[in-house]
Amino acid sequence: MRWLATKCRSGDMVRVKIGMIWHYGVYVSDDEVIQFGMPPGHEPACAIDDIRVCSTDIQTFSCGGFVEAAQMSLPERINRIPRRRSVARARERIGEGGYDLIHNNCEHFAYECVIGVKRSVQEEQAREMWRSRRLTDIYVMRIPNGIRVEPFIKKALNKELKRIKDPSLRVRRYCAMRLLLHALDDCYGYSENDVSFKRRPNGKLMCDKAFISVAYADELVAAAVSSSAVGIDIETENSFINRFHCGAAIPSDNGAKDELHRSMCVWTRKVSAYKRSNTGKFIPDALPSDVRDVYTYSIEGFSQTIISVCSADAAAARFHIWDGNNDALLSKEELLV
Amino acid sequence: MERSEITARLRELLLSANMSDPKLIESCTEDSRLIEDLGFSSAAMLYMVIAIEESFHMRFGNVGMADFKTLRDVVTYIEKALE
Repeated sequence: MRWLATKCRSGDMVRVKIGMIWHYGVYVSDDEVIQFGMPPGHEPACAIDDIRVCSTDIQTFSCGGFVEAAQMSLPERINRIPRRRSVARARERIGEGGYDLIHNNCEHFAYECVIGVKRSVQEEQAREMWRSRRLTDIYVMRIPNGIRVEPFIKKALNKELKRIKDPSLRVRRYCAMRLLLHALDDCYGYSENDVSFKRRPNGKLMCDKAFISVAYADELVAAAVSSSAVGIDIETENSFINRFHCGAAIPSDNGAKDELHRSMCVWTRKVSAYKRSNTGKFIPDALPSDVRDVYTYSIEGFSQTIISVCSADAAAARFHIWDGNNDALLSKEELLV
Repeated sequence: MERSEITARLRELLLSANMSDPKLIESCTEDSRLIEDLGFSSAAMLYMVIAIEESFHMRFGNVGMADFKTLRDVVTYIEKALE
């Protein structure tokens, strides 16, 4: 369907731009344009219940702007409600209330009368814009003691778990998948049935609906979901010392602790950058420690933990703590950069 | 959900939705007026309502532009809807 500022015919769906949004109506004649509520900014101050389907003349409807009429394709013209019937439907509804900004607005009304379908393209476009906005969300959970591995709905996820022989690794992977599914649902509204996972030859897990990355450290799991390529790494003091200092004690003096945390920051930044790039072998010495788009945090309540995330939106990344039931979004004050 | 949590989450949502100057959003209070103080257009109001639906997993019903003059109006609506 196209729109054109042209002479209108009875039964046309018409619209006029008021500020940044369109106001819709059904054209009958220059003296009669039937609309749900008055154009935005022109309705008298009234309660929502007072907004009704009403009739005005084209001058009032236009608010000084250009009125456009819907130009339909041949299939659209064939399938639309006949013009006289559209006008009759619109007239029958004069006085009707129940206005709602996004679920029952002027556009819904016009579409229903002319096309026979209740829809608002503006609402659909705004919703799509929201869902496709650039974002990076990080989810952290503590693996609960004694957690049972329950089967997933998707066979591919269960198959992924069966590959892992070590029971503790399987639990970690299970928690990571549960965390990822929660993240995809929380961020995008995708349920387990809506998403597919695949494993790349290099072992990285991929999702068809968003960019993802997962990391583990001790009993913590971190998952990142993003609208752009993302990598995440998490280290606790314990996991880092076990990895690099083979059983040495966690230092107690501040100087040594600071040095340890600096090393943890450098390491997680490199790993997160590598995971984001998703190419080649991981050669730590070859990776710069001042990579762009990497941000490093520790979280209040997880004081011995460092998390680095690498993505185009990492600066505005949002952090969530999930316990399997409740999702708590952290404020900036709770993140220590 | 506590009111303070709703307010924090709403502020984050407004920042990520990029509908206004981030400095205005970060310094806004519940008394901040959406149009006059935060510079929201009608399109931004529509976007905000949809973003709230998506983020808080709720559905708005029977609301118009005039229902949300300040941030307090929005937070109060969300609080009641989540009860």
